[in-house]
Amino acid sequence: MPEAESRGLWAGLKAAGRAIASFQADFVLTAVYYLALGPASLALKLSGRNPFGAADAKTGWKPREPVDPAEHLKSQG
Amino acid sequence: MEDLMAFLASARQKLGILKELFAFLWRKKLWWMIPIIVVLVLVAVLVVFSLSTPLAPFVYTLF
Amino acid sequence: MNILGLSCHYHDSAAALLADGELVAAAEEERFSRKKHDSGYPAKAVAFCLGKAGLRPQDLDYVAYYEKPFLKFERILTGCAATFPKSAGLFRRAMKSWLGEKLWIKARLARELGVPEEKILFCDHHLSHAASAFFCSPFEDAAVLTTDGVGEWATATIGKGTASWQEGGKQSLVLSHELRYPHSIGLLYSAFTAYLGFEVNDGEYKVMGMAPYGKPRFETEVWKLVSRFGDGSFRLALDAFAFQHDAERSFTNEFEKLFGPPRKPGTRFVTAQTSLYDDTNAPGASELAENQRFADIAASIQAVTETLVLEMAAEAKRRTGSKNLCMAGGVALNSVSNGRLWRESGFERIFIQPSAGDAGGALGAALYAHHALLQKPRRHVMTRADWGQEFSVGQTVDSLKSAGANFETFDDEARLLERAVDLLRQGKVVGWHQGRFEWGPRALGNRSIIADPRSEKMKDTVNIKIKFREPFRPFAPSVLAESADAYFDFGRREVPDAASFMLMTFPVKDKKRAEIPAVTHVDGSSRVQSVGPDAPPLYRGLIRGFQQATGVGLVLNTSFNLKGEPIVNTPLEAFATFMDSGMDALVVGSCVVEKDKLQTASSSWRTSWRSSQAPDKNLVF
Repeated sequence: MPEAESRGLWAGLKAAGRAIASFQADFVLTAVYYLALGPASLALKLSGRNPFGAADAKTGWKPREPVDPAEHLKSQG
Repeated sequence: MEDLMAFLASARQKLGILKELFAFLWRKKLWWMIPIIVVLVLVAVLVVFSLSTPLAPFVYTLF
Repeated sequence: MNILGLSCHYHDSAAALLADGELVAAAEEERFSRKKHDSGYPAKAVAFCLGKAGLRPQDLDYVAYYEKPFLKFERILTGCAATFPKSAGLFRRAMKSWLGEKLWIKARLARELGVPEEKILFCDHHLSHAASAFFCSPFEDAAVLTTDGVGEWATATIGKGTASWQEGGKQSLVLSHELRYPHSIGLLYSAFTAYLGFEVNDGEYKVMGMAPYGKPRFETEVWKLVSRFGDGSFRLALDAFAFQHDAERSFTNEFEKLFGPPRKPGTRFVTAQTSLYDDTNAPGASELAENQRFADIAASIQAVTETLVLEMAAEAKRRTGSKNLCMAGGVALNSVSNGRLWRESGFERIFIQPSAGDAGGALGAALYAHHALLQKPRRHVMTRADWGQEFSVGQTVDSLKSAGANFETFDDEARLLERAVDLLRQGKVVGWHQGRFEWGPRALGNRSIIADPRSEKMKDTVNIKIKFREPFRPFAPSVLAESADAYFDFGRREVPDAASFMLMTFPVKDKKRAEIPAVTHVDGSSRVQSVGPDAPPLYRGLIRGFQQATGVGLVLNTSFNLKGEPIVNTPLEAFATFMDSGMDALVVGSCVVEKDKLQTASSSWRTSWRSSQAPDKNLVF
């Protein structure tokens, strides 16, 4: 097979593989969403904590913890 | 061989990042998030990770 | 001490390099990759910054990334859990990009740059914004206000900076309070951007440009979406918004109940005051009424934004007691609200980072590391914005020759300026490519298209024939700082620092409006660039030459690009854009190309060049 043609075939195979992979990832992630995030969401609701801020808050400003620059910059979180 | 070494180095770095991530969740007391992240990481290893490898097309057609 | 700052993976990726606290280079990746708002790893911008300083990656002491990946990941997962089961689509999309790429940014940076992981630092998103403003400002003490869509959890912060120019002096930047996602002024504005048919993270300034065609008669309805606490903070009425659980939609049916059906993207915007130019299809009464509704909605969200920004600034002033204000974050690019801040907030001086969006975070992260971590004294004040790539005379000449262009070269600057002024006076539209390209979204006289501001028709000509964009969009003037007061009403005696970067809008003085119609918006306002002694001398010389010739100390200045494309970088890109548009002349370095004198530049050269310059394609899953 000429080189150009085999490269085209390989590229085609890879593209098809990616399309299937993307579909598969959607499928698996949907399962994770309902089976793992669903219960966690329920737990979050039962705990009564509203991560989007309590509705009866008196202000939207939240004080920030003071940071030590060295520790702050080292951490990814 | 070089590819394999690069793959191992990248896997080691990613494991290091996961260690940091779990330490972060622990420190912030985000217990509820731990199971989801464990599942997501497994999914990542099985599925999304291999998107970046040249084997991807075959892994997917077989999986 | 060499520190590389990086931002990438969200909107506009960029790199900035500090050597011993002095800024050496800063650039957005899109200028090199030619992909508008490129968000990929900024390999080309990094290579440019290192090259400019003559450094190799191993010479870097630190690499500072502009945000905290884990905190952002946590916010996205928490958001998906809080909006379960509506967020399935958002979750799938977010997890693919996070598990595939974003979570592993540290490994990616280590691999790309070949630096050990210990050298990689992570600076909070809003702290990066804050540092990009405060540590570039001329102040030793200032209140800081950052406002954008969202970083990790914060959507706005207030704080205070203290800095010293002396060795051993204290350097401190502390953000004391934050507003948290999803209550966001940036996301509120973006929801209206989407509603008005523009692209989120790109079309916000079109909403701002549309607002003066309307009256804020929907302000009460907009306030139904926002409950204020009286201290600059607020909550959004979340049932009107969809961005918390939907990657495609920003607003819900509740939103539409308040404002009516949204504007279809791509439809023409035409009101009684907009120009039709050569569009022969006259609008009917219903089209006019519908568009007037959109203009009124744009005016309403703009009015609400201005009120919110003023209230936040008042809170920053109250908490810090400072007389200076520093601002960054995407909302700090809203020049109309910035103009009001100047006139009404009571701050004596205001500095705004010219690259206020996410790209600027790259510089901020590096500056924070240099000053807060290493406690090094201040070395840099950002008085000008040209930190990008430049080209030598030889490179420019070679580029034009390679394109087959015939051109004139002027060794004498005075003669070059004379020719450029002549062209402008003849009503020609001139591409102006000089020195290093600008940092931030505004072209400030190094990659600009310039024209005579006195001509009534010029606004339509440049919008439609040159840039191929909507006729309602306004143009800004570049005015000599010493003449600025004669044309514009700054509301105070001094010209603001932020006007050097075209970041504030002011009324054109009544008696001058008829004199400079091309840069006077429909409401009589203008987004002024004041060109002072710190600006590139050639650009100042050009405006001074125009003033001597015409008596008007300003020119129309718009960015050197076509609609939807990044601003040009190289002389060849400038030439190609010049050929693709209706521009009459091009001044690149000391070379002048005139379209009606061109002999050989063939359209086949343009076609093959354009196709060879297609933007980098990143595979997206």
